[in-house]
Amino acid sequence: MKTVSRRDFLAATATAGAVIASPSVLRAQARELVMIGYGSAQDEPLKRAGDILGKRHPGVSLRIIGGLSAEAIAQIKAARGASPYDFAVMGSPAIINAVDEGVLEKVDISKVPNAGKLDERFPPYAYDWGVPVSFAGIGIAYNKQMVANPPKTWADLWKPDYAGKIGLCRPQSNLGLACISIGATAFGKPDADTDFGLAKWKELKPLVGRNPNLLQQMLERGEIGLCPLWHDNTGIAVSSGLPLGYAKVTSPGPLMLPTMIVKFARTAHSDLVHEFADILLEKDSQEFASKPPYYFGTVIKGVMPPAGAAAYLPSTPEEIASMTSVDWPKVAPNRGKIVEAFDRLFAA
Amino acid sequence: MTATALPRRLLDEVLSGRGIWPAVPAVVVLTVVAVIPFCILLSLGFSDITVSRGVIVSQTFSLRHLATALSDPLYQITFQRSLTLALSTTALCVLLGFPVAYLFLIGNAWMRRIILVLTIAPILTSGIVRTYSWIVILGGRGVVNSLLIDLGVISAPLRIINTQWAVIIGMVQVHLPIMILPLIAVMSRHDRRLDEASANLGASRLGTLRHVILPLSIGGLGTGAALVFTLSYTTFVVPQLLGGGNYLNAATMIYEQIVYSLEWSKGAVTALLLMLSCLSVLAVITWLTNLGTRWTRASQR
Repeated sequence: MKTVSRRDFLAATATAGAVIASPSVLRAQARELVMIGYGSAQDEPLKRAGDILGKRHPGVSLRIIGGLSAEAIAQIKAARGASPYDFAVMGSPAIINAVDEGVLEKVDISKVPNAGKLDERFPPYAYDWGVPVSFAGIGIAYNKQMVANPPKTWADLWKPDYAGKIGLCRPQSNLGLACISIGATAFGKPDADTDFGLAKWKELKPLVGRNPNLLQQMLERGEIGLCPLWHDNTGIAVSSGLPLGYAKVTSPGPLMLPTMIVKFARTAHSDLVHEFADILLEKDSQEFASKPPYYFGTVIKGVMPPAGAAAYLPSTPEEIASMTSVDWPKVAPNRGKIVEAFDRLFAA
Repeated sequence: MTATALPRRLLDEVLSGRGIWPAVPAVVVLTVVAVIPFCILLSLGFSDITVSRGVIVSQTFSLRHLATALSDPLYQITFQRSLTLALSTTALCVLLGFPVAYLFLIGNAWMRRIILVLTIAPILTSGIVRTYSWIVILGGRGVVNSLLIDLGVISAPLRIINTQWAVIIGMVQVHLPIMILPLIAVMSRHDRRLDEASANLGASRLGTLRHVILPLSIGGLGTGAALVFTLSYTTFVVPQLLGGGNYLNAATMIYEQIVYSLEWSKGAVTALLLMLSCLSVLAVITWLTNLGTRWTRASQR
């Protein structure tokens, strides 16, 4: 029997490595778009659009990576601008932070024909860097077994009825950042007075969730009775049979945050990203995204959300007229300072 | 020597597996993925940087970030909390781990197998899964609260999750095997004739444990304590999941500074302080271990 020498062993190992690596190499030859999504059921409309794109361009596929936009920006910064992602869904505050770090490339609206049908309220929130494809509402989610009468305005949260039951998201997420701002605007202060907002939240002694998903879980487990939350998080939880309710709170609001498709600098698939955004703005895609359980807000004129969405999204003429968002350019650039101030107040 | 002879000789030496060559791949990997990135990160802690389009365009030497960190009460509180947490976890792991290792020593073959399986099995599961299981157990509607309510001990659920206690419980559970394994390694080499000699000389079981087994286990205790302390002090997942959003330890602080605040210089300084303070405690543990084993080493001379 022939003895296997080290040289034979190394040669065999190298051959085996090449064979194992070949599918990845071949896959890399095909065009794969990598995007930052939600990392949850909310990715379904994105996956659907990716499938349509793949049918139009054989060999093109979409890979969705879940996670907060802020984490993606940090990764790109760590990679010295060489983004491992082609594009992302991003809210206004994350766009402002990403632009500050210089990791984005402007989306060319002329290459997104359906953008011409956009409701004029939404494009300003993209700050010329992206194209809006949906919007999410920020309201108060509550556990029906713990809260009988949910708040109607943001200031109601400070009523004694809700003492000891309130949850809050950390400000590194867009939701948490919006909450700090709401703490100021609910009491007549400007959005950017986040020190006032933080002090008001401190009065409530809230239980804090690290991100919206963990906050939602705290609500589901009954550790908190109510908290500011995205409408789509609540909708998905309700659809799974949990006893949660959602209050479309006003003064300010109903609050919403448009979600944009943004393109990272140096992507090799710029045209495909534009086409992907265009698919998301097609009537069918908008209707799909507005279905339960996501109830994503539609941004194209004439596409109305289904009846069930009225529990989550502005539906009456008054609500639609008073729909607003946070003054993000004044708040988002201070995210780092707000997170630090938050820790000094809540974690020290 | 011809030009082709040198590469040929080098190749033969590499393939022969002699000298330092077997360690070279590990050293290269460690240098590339750990040493160089850490040095780059530390260099950022001592400089003011300007970033444009994701690339550092200017970097000037500065001690500003270090001075700020050393005088900032938030850092002091956070490091104090991390240290308390890590020391408490280490102490509890020693207290819980030593009896298990002792059982391993005195138990029969079956008992030993069971202890080994029970110790190793949790390591085969993801730390995140093990930590999440504590949310189920300690949560408002978890096993502990349900039991206490059913027994009539409490009328409303206790808040256990999202507290320091939940973090300590999770940390001890996650790190206990790391304490037990070095102890088992020491115990499995323990010469039982020493115990018999101790008993023949009139020592009780407790006396043998205290004067024979414990001193001979100091090496394992020191190794386990050093490992558990290091992992607990620098841990990130357990405080994130069990401590709630207003629980900040040094590791989560670094993560937030680098990922969310995008302030690399601050993150680098915090990482440096974490490393230096960790090394200081490890030095104390090593000193104590050496102190506890000095007579063993003296007898081996």
